[in-house]
Amino acid sequence: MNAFQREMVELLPRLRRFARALARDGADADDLVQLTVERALGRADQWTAGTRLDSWMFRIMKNAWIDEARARQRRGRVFAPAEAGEQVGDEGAAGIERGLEAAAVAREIARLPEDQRLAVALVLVEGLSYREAAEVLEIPEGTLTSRLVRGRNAVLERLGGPGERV
Amino acid sequence: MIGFDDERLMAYVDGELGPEVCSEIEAAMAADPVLAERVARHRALRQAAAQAFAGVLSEPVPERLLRAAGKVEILRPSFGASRAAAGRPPWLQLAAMAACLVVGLAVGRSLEFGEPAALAPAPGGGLQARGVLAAALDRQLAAEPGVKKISVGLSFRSKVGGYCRTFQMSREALAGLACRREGRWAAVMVTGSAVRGGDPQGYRMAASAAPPAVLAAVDEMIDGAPLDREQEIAARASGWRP
Repeated sequence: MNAFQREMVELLPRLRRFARALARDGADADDLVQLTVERALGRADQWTAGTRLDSWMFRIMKNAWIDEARARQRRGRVFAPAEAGEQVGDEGAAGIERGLEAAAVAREIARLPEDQRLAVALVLVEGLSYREAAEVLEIPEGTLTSRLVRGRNAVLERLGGPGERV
Repeated sequence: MIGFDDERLMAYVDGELGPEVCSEIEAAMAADPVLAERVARHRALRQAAAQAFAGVLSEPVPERLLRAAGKVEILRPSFGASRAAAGRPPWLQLAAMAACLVVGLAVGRSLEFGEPAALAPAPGGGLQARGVLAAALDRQLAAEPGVKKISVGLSFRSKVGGYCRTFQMSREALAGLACRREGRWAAVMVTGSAVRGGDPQGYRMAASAAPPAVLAAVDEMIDGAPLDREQEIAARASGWRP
């Protein structure tokens, strides 16, 4: 196993986390990780050593996910309903201020349109900077921020909270 | 008059703004509770989103993924030294080794991803630090180089009493803040952190590398100044009891 693969193995937990934020269902998420790893290995020669492998692989995963989503649509398969959020975050309730409960947030993220969910997952879940996230998504930073604003406001509106309608 | 739109406030919470704009927003927040509440909500969403998926990082990585990545040569169990250093009682070390060996047989060194979760549900709700993270919070001084890619940023007394410490787990790309409560380290916040240090080992992590969300939580909770080294040593000696 070479250095590239070793670094990839180290990244697997984060790739799984990103995939879980995209795919809602745990098994689908791991399928997505596997597809990403296979594609990355297939084009390992395109990766420049010394640059960030995580961003590069997130980008491959993003493209794989979009391909998959299109294929599913063509086959007429409907996405798994938004129960997915229930798989994660059950333990995270306390310690969150302002009554935002982690499982509920995960559920609402799962209901966002694809483009907004990708932006939210990279910045809020993976902790990427705007510049990094925009590079992964191959969009201008302004587009990223507007997707972030729409996605986050949608989640906040649905969750309601103090002083807001539920 | 509120001069900040959501995009600006989110960028503030995300640590995307320069120091001048930050102080402008902070001054405005101090004068305007409604604005402060909006910021708090954006911050709470960021924290909740990170926390919602944090558990994935401590799950064992399925073997099929390790295989896909080419991780087929295996079996380099590396517990010994590192586990002893983590300071568990011998019987617990054995239990952890036994639990890891099951996974370890299949996945070798990467079983470390599946080792006893560093963050686990606490009995009364929320998350608590366990395993290597709890050990680091118990023992590691803020300036010390981290072990197992965990570093402690700073320690302080909270306004509600008790000690709190920030931490970074570079391998998991997680950062957070833990406070001592009833003999445990309660993780009062956990957030994603893409900062992983320039070196592939990632062992070194400056306190200043803490994500803005963590620093903001510190600002809200801190009573006085962070502990200096001597105060930290004394607090450690007292078992982090105030």
